[in-house]
Amino acid sequence: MAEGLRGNLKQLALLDIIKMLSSGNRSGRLDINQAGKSGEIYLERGNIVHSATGTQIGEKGVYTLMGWLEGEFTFTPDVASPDRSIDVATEQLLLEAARQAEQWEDIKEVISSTDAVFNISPSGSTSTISLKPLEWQVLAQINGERSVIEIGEILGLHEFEVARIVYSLTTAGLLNEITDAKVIFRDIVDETFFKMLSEFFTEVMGPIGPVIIEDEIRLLGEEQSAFPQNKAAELVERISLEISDSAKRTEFQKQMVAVLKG
Amino acid sequence: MKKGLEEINQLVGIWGSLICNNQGEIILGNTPPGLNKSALENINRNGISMFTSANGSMQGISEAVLHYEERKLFVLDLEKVFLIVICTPSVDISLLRMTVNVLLSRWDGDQKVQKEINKRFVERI
Repeated sequence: MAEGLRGNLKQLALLDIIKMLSSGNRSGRLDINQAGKSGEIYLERGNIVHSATGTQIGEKGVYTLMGWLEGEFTFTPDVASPDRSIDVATEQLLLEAARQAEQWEDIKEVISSTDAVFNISPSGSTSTISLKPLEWQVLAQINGERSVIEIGEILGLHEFEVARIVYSLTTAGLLNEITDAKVIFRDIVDETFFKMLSEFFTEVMGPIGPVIIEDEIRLLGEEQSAFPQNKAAELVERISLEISDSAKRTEFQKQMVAVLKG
Repeated sequence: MKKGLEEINQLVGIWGSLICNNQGEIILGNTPPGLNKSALENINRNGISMFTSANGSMQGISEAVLHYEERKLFVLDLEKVFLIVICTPSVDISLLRMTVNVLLSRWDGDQKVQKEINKRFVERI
């Protein structure tokens, strides 16, 4: 099998990675992981033929993934696509993605991330505003708790579309982003989790155990003091892969699955 | 085996799980009522054909997560049978993978389960 490619989206934007693979006529699967979410893009001789992330399939999947500015990617060459959800020419797809990426830059001036939560501004707009049906639907979902991404899931819209509407409603003075909302609503794992993780892992790996745990937390872009619940299983799985003895690895996973299930 | 599928189904984001033979026929299922069996077997066959249609280029790969409409399919090739888990997009794949791994290690040492699996073996489609 040909050599794969992996890295971080902070260093290399997804658009640039795809351009590179496309111009090299590469075939294979590009996996992208970000904060417990994942997605994949399949290429065949440089053409994008399929993409999926969550409920977003095809072109929508590609545009969603293009909006991820952080996370890790892995390209595995010569993996055949299980499906063909994209008929549009790759050049056209990349052009639209580049256009959206530009708009994202403007949007990000106002919306900190797609995890951002908004409430309706008590002061409102200073001028008369008319809303399109879709804008009204998004506005109706704003409750100070739902994030941009969650509103997209509820309305069956691509997160870019929701972000674009939230951006225009915010610049019109109708919405305010709740700062620190991410911290308020993000479930954090408790101390017991790390205590058990460290204890079980050190039992197998010895004193290097806590060092490996720290490394993996950092690779996930997190800190132990505020580690999100939705990444706990991913952390355990990644750590368990460091155990070369499969029986010991399974035993460690068994112990930690029990902890994760509470 | 039934208890194992129940364990899988207890995880958040799991819609149902099943064991099917190498031709996609359901051997044991723990899926929500109302699911069309033939549609489900069709999905199984699609999942299985992914492992077999690539002319051996996927050799060594025993697991796949497929996106099927608004569901995710976690397909695991157990050689003599397949384990298929139908998930919602909110599933924690890492937790599912570890739960299944623990379960399989238990099945490996269970003669009754192995006998059942051997009995159900058919050639691949």
